[in-house]
Formats: sequence, structure tokens, C-alpha cells
Amino acid sequence: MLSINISELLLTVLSFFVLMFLLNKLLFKPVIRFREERQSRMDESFRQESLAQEQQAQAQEEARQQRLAGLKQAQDIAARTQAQAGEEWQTAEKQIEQEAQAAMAQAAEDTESLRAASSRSLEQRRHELARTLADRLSQ
Amino acid sequence: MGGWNIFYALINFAILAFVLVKFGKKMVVNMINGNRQQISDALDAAKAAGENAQHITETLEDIRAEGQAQSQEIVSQARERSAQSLSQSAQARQELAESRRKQTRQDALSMKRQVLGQLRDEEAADILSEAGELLKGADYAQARRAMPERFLEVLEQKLTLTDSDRARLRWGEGLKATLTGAEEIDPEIAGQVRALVERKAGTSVDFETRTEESLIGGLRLQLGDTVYDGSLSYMLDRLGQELESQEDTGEDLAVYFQEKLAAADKEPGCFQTGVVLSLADGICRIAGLSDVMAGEMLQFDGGLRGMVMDIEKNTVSAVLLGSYEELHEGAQVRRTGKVMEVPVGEELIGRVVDGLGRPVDGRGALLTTHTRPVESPAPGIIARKPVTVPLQTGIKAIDALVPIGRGQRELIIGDRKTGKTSIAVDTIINQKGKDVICIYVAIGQKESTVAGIVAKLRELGAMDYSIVVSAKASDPAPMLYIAPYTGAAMGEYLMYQGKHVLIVYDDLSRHAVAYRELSLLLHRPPGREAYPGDVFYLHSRLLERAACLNDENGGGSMTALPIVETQAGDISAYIPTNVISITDGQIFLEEGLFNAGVRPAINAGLSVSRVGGAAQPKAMKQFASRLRMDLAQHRELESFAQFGSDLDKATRDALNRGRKLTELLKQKRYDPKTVAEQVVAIFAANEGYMDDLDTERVPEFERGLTAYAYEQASDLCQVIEGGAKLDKDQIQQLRRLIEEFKKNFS
Repeated sequence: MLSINISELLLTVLSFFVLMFLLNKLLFKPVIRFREERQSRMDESFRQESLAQEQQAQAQEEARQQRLAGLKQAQDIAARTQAQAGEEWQTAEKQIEQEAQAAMAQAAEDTESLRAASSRSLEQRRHELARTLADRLSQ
Repeated sequence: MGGWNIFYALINFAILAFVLVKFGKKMVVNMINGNRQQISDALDAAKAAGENAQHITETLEDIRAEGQAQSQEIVSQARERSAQSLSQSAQARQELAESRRKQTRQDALSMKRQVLGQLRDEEAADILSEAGELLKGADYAQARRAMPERFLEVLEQKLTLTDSDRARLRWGEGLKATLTGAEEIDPEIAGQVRALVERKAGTSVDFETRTEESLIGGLRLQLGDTVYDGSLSYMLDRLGQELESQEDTGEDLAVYFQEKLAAADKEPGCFQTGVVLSLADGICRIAGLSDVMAGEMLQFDGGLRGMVMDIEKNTVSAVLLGSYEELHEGAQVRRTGKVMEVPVGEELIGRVVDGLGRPVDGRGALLTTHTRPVESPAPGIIARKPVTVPLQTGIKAIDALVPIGRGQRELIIGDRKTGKTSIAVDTIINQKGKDVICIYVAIGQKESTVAGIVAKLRELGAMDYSIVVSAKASDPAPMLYIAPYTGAAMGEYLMYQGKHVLIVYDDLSRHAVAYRELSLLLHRPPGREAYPGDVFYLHSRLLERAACLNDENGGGSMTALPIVETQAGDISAYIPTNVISITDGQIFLEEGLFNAGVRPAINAGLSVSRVGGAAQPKAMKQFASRLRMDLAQHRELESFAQFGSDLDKATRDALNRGRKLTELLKQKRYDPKTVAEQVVAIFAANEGYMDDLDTERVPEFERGLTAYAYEQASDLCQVIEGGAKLDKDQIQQLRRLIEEFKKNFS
């Protein structure tokens, strides 16, 4: 015959709670603490990794910036070189042109004086030359 | 009771445990294992993450250092390049200075020669007239009296009958001999001359004597059209002409005159003469000159020159090469015994000359020492070798699709204002530093146009290796007719010296028109389009002179780029078809393309090069065939695609590729590309690297890519320029290069 024994029930409930208390104290809490600690250690590792990755990205960005700065500097150098070369070229062209003009002016002057001198000397010798030719043709 | 309860509880527990173990063990074990695995994986991951973090931390410095190092390397490379380009620029400046100095020296020399030449001409005239006066005087009376006897002695040796004299005798027309003296001729001398003439002729001749005071002294015998002139006036005249024709006088004119006058030729001269009968439109009909050759140069009074065009039974027709305002009916014409010649040689480089090779650039006399007949036969089969060396035009569309080789004749044909001259000028500009001498023959061009071209060539340094022959629009037709032959003679001389020459005839349709004008004035029967029957020969004999000589003949070459203008794109007109059939291919320029902004407006379908393929650089040949096919496909699809809107992907892709290629082949003026630049760009387009770009960005991509290629793979560029074929590795390298560039191209 089934019947409910109140005292026994109470005893059972009590022993259950005692067991729960003991288990909680001795087993659950340490286990949970252990798990949490483990989880936090893991989280810490992942955090560190992501931090490191961030740092890496940052470093890479820095390197890229440096490269860009290098490129910019290179471009500046190229532009400066080009400008310098252009300037030098223009100066040189101008100088060469001036030199050429001076040389041509000098040549023109020389030619003119040569012409004048030749003209003078021929003026004096024309008669003699005509005579030479006449002699030659009549020989 | 209590004991049983415990027993029941134990039994219950045992059953429960059994059931749990029986049914839940596996599940629980799996769960626990899975959990353990998860935990262990997570632990591993965490461990790896930790290690990774440590590793990254360790490498951070490296990354930074690498960035720094790369940056430093870039800067140092830039510095190096900068130093290099500065030194190159310094070298270029030095070269410029040297070339300008050389030019100045030549200009100064030319100026001196011109000034001294003028003085020489003035002084020579004075001296000769003074000598003439002296010879007329009493001092030389005895000498004058002795001259007829000497003339007779010379006549004894020199007098012969010409072919025309014999022909006259054969036809029974008789010969007429006239003996002229400055004073009354001694009858004894006259008798001796007559006897001599009759002895040589073998029959009696119609003999008369005359007196002409202008002869000064000595005798002159005219037999038929041949003159034996031993008169003093002739000798003075001959000496005057001889002095005038000499370019170099030396520094001291007095010494020059002394030498020349003391060695003056006093031998009687022998020449044939004629008389101007009529003169119209630059054509002169002349009586006499019986033995004249076809194409012979004639000398008119006053220095005017002419060229024999037609020889008829009683008259000779000649074209006048120069202004003929002072020429009159009855004027004397003298044979020169030479066909037309022009000055040739490297001294002409940098100069602008007219159709007869006379300088027109105001830079003084020419310094040439050689001449060459304007008409000369083209090299024969034995002297030639096949065209194998490319002549790069620097224009992508031409070098890829219609390549030109050294020694080839490639026609540039198109309507007016389609960029024909630009192609020729660009080609000349691209020959800088390639050891090719360029000759630009302007036929009937406006003077302003020629001046513009010369200025542009000079600005770009192309006049350092170029000659310009200019027969301007206002010149008489004979000058336009002769100009291309003059250019060809200049080129030919250099070709036989083993040099490489590029000659541009701009343009041959005007040349044909000038020849038509001449022929109609000469009363030659007009044929199709009123051109004379030999208009084909006119151009074939000119263009055949372009050749690639074999090594026994010096290995030189002459490449000809004739230009022909069409009317409304009609390439089947007379002159275009003639020249197309003579040349080794044509570049056809289309007005529609030009107006659509495709410049150079080359119609890739109608343009061909019949021999250039063998001369194309190998790397270019590797990729150009694909380009040609893609373009052809694009042309076909384009007309088809105008009708339909729904196209399949393949068609859309082909159209897209075609558009990119068309854009790629556009090119600005005066912007020649090297072979490597062309090959890299065409390869990139062929491989589809440009397909996803906006069409407008193609030129930018090309510019960037080619610059990048020269920077990053100069060895590969050298291989391409060396004319070698690219192997698999090199093609792979090129691919990687383009991919790298494209990644950074934004």
C-alpha cells in the first residue's frame, strides 16, 4: 500500500539540499571556476592575437606609409631632376644659341674683313691679273 | 519494514543504474568526448593564437624595418636614376652643343664661300672685261694675227662630221659652213679652212665668211649645228663660266685668280648650238642641236638651264628650269653634253634645296663635291636582296599591322586632310639615332607648309639626318616634275655608299599633274584622265630605284614612302591604281575614321604590306596576328551589331575588345613609340588586360604600363628591341608584370 511518509519526505528533501550544498561547495564551484579561468585564459590568448594582428596591420600600414613616403620622395626627386634638367637644358640651349650666334657674328665679321681685304688687294692687282690673262690667251 | 524499504530502494537504484548505463552511456560518453574535443580544440586554438601573437609581436619590427628598407631603396633608386638622367642630360647637352657647333662651322664656311663667291663673280667680270679690252688693243695685234693659224692646226685634229651632218649629206640637204673672224679674214686661211671642211665632208659645202668685231680675236667655224670656237671672246666667256661654277675659292682671291687665270684654257672649244624658235608656258622649241640626247641639259644665254624632253625631226622641245622672262626668240642655246645632274652627298644633310639641288634655306653655298644624274637606272635583280630589316615608323597601327622594311616601297594614300604627311613626318622623326638618312621631297606643296615641316623637323632634331627637297606650288611644272628624281638621285648616292635612306615623295598625284601639264604643252596625246601614255613609267622608274642592296653592293637601302591623294576616297582612279600596283603595299587613310577621332586614320582592312612581314621584329610578329584578327572581327561585328540590341556574351566581348584595340591604336602626332612599348601594349590588349577598363582610360593605362615595363623589366624590353622572339618564361614574366601594374592602377 502506497502512502506518503511526511517525515521521510522531509528527510529526503533535507538530505537532497545537504547534498546539493555539499556538491555545490565541493564540486560545482571549483569546476565552474576552473572552466572560467580556462575560458579567460583562452580569451586572453585570442585578445592578444587580435591585438597583435591589429599591431601587425598598424605596422604594415606604417610600412606602407613609409613606402608611400619613399615613393613620394622619389617622385619629388624625379620632378626636381626633371625640373633641374629642363632648366639646365634651357640654359644650355640659350648658351649654345648665344655661342652660335656669337660665332656666326664673328664669322660674318671675319668674312667681311676678308672680303674687304680681298677686294682691296684685287683692286690693286686687277690690272696685273687682266694682263696675265691676256698674255695667257694670246700666247 | 524499514529493511525492506532499503532493499527496494537498492533494487530501484540498480534498475535505474542499469537502464541509464544501458541507454544513456553512449550518449553521455559521446557528449563528454565531444565536449573534451571542443575544449581541446579551443585550447589548441588559443595556444596557436598565443603563439601567433608572440610571433607577430616578434615580426612587427621586421615589418617596420622592411618598410623602412623598401622606402630607402626606392629613394636610393630614385637618386640613382636622377643622377643617371642628369648625366644623360649633360651628355645630351654636350651632343647638342657639339652638333650646333658643327652646324655653325658649316654655316660660317658656307657664308664665307657665298660672300667670296659673290666677290669672285664681280671681280671676274671686271678682270675679264679688262682683259678683253687689253686684247683688243695694239699691244696684242700681233698675237691676234697669229691666232688663225693656230686655229687651223687645231681644226685639222678636231674637225669631224657629226651623225646629223652625215644624215644631212645622205639626204642631199648639203652642209653649210660659216667662218667668222673679228677682222677681215685672210683669204688664204679661209681657203685652207674650206678645203679642210670639204675634205672631211667628202663633198663641196656651202661656205661663207663673216666678220664680227665682238669675237675680239681668233676664228669661229660653224659647220651644220656644230661650232668650233677659237675666238678670244669665247675663251673669256668660258673662263667666266668655269670660275662661276666653282664653289671653293680658298682664302686668298688674288692667289686664286692668279692660279686660274695663268692656267686658263686657250684651246678652241667644240659644241653644238641651236636657236630658240618659240617659247610658251615654260616649253621652248629649238632649231639646231641636231645631235642632242634625250634628257640632256641645255644652257641658254644668261645662265638659264633647260632639259630636253622631245626630239622631233627638225626641232627639239625643252622644258625650262627657272624663270624665262629674259629669253627671246632667236636666243642661242648650247648643248652641255650631260644629262641633268644634281649635287649629292652627306653635305646636303640638314639643308633645304630646290628641285635642281640649289640651296633655298639661306644658309649659303652647298659644300658638296659630287654630282649624280637625276635619271639613272634602278638596281637590277642581282644587286638586290630581300627586305629583312624593319624600318620602324614608331606608329603602333603601322608597325603592328602594315610593317615596313628597309628597301620597301609603301604607299600612303588617302583623301586630303587625312594625315598622310603626318605619318611620313612621324616616321622621319622616329629615325633619330637609327642610322637612317631621311629625304623629304615636297612636290607642289605650299611654301608655308614646307616651312612648317622644316621647322618641326628642326625643333625635334630631325634635320640632323634629313634633307628637304622642295618644289613649291608656284614653281613651273618642270621643277615639280624633276624634284622627285632629284631626291631619288640624292638618296641613291647615299644608298650606294652603304647608307640606309628613307625617302618621302609628298605627293605623287601632284607630280603626275605636273607631268600631265608638261605633256599636254608638248602636244603629246592625252590618254585616260588626260594623262599621257607613259604616266605609269613616270612613277615606276622613280619607285623602282628604292631598293635593298646586297652586301657586295654595300648593303645600303632606300625605303620609299610615296604619298598619293585620292578624291572622295576613290582608290580606283588612274594614278592611285598605278602607284598601288608599283608599290609593295599601301597604308589607306580614311576620312570617316579621321573625323571619328581615330588618328592615324588607318583603315586596317584596306592597308597591306606585301613584304614588310618578313622584316617585322619577331616579338611583334608573335602578337600582331592576333591583333589583326580581333580588329577584323570587330569590324565585321560592328556593322552587324548596329541592327540588333540583344547580343550574346561572345559578341559583346569581341566588340568590347575591338573598342579597346581601336583606342589603343590611336596615337598623337610627334609621339613615336619604341618596339618594346608597342609590343607590351599590344600584348596586354591581346591578353584581355584592358577589357575591363573604361575605353577612355586605355591611353593612360598604356602610358603607365609601358613606363612601368621600362622601369621594372628593362632586360625584357631590350630583348624585344633586339628583335628576338619571346619564349614561354618571358611571356610569363610579361604577364606577371602587367598583373602587377594593373593591381596598382586605379
